[in-house]
Amino acid sequence: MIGCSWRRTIHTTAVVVGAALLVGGCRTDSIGAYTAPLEKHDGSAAMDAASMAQAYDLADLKPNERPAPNSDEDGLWLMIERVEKNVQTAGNRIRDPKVTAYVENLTCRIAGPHCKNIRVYVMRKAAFNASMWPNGMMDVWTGLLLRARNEAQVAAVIGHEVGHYLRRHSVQRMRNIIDSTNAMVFVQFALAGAGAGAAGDILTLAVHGSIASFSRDNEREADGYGLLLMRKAGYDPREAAKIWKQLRREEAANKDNEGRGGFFASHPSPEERDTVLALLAEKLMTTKSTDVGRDRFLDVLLPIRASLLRDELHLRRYDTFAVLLDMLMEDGANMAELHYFKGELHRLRGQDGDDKVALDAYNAAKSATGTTPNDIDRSMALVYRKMNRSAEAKDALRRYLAANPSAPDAAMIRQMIGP
Amino acid sequence: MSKSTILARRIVAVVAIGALVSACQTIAHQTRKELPKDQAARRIVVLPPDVELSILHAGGLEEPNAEWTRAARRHIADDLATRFRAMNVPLVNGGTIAPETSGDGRELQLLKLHEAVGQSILIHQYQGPLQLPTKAATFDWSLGPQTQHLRQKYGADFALFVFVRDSYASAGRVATIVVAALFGVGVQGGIQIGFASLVDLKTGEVVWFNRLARPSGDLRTATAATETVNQLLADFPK
Repeated sequence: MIGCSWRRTIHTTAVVVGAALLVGGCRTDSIGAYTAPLEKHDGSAAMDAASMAQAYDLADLKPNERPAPNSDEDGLWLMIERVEKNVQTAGNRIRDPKVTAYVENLTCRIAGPHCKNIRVYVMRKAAFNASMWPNGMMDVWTGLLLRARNEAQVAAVIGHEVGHYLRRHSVQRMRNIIDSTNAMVFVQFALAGAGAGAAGDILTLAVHGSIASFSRDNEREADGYGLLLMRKAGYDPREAAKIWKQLRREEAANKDNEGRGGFFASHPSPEERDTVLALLAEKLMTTKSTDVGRDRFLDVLLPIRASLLRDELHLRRYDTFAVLLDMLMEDGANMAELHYFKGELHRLRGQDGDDKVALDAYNAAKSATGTTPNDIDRSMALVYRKMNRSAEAKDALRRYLAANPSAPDAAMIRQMIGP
Repeated sequence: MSKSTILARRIVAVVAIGALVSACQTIAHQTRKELPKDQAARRIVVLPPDVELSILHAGGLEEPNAEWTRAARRHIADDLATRFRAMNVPLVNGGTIAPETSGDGRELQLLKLHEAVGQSILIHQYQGPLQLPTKAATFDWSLGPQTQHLRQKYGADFALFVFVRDSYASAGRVATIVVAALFGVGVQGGIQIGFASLVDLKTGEVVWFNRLARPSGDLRTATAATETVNQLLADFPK
């Protein structure tokens, strides 16, 4: 990048003027009528769909619409087609037909006439995420399914992603970044010509800030579309805000999360999304949009949930994982499995007092309703051994062998039990 | 942007630096100087060339260009078909090169594997700060025996893989280069980065590899594309 070689004394006035020029040049204040609910949490209007469309002359995609041949959008789609081929053959793509059919049908219910244009891939990946690609490829991470409580919450996220697709946010963002970085170069030259080249560094920050701000407005718009789409499909729109409330609780326990967000954040803060979505949902709520679909969702999630909890556990983010488990326990589906994972968390963390908490959790798992993974006795044995309670450890190992006579580690377990 | 795109960009950046340092010499690496003489043992399948052309904007952002990309894929495929005919190398599929893969999962996996191996060769085989000491004196890269899938599918003995990323400075970028030069600052224009590998489908070994890394070259017209393929296939086994 140019600009770095022009390190001179910062000329304060030039900096302020330069920054104002770019930020001001990129921000579009709200004009015209709303086409989607896009209020900021303070009640002021954010960039609305009408002015966004004016900004890049882009109408919503129509069903089966493709970009104009040889347009910049066409180039973007062509590039992503190659990425999609890689995703199709990715090793962590979930191929369980029950899961994929469920997510595909849900997407169709949300996307309506665009159903055939959106191809959804469920990827086995811990953490909460889903992304929409310009050409209609969508990926949903299993960490998202694990954190949703019901079908309406998954529908809210899919609605948000479909909103990105319909509004063509990828090409909007590409144009915005090209325009902003191009403008930055020319202003840098102007500043250098005026003997204030060092202002260019501050300018770079301003431009990144303005690009992030554009992205946040896209996200707000997609949130609005998501609510409208989920309501149209008959889901309770109040579930959308609950996702962010849940994520906020988890994030609050995250000690590595200092300094996130703000000026450079690509998404609005979870606080804002929670508040605004709850507010808008109350306005949008109708007697026809009450479907939550908890049972349907759990019927698909529970058979695979243990493997997803295992993936989260392996990230070793024990503090946030503990909060996630607490929240899932409040929800109460298959309690035995959740107690088991609480035991695993404390066994693996191994700090003072963890052994006892782990044992209590495993015992709670055994008396709770539901099913536990079949290695619970082996886990208990490992904790007993650590606490030098060898008789109990051997008993637990025997129980493990009895339950899993052909376990791959049977020989090692027999050796641990001894004669 | 996707992760693979970002990775490709990073590789492009690394190679671009290398290219400037080494003044864009093309030196092919090969364990095979000649193809078998027997026509029935030198059949080649050219896999769909992985080519993307983009506009390099003033601010340094690359915008993929669909029209140029489609044209370049066609030009490269046409040129290779003509070239192999002239070299008396039998191309499978009646001499045609498919613009897209057939969607066969194992073939796609091999294409991904080749992309990973090819980019590793590009970064770690050639002289420079990232050259692996173990690769300095030898050239031994392989996709593994799974390539026999392609051998059976296409009835081919060798497969040629082609990867090219080519960018062209926009008018704004050209102006930037000129103005920056007035301030004594060098700004990179469009660059052409690519590589091609010839793989023995019996063993999976890469028997010939060459790269492109230069600030010139064009793929938007058939004539210009021929010059680029000449460079890319320099020292190709006879």
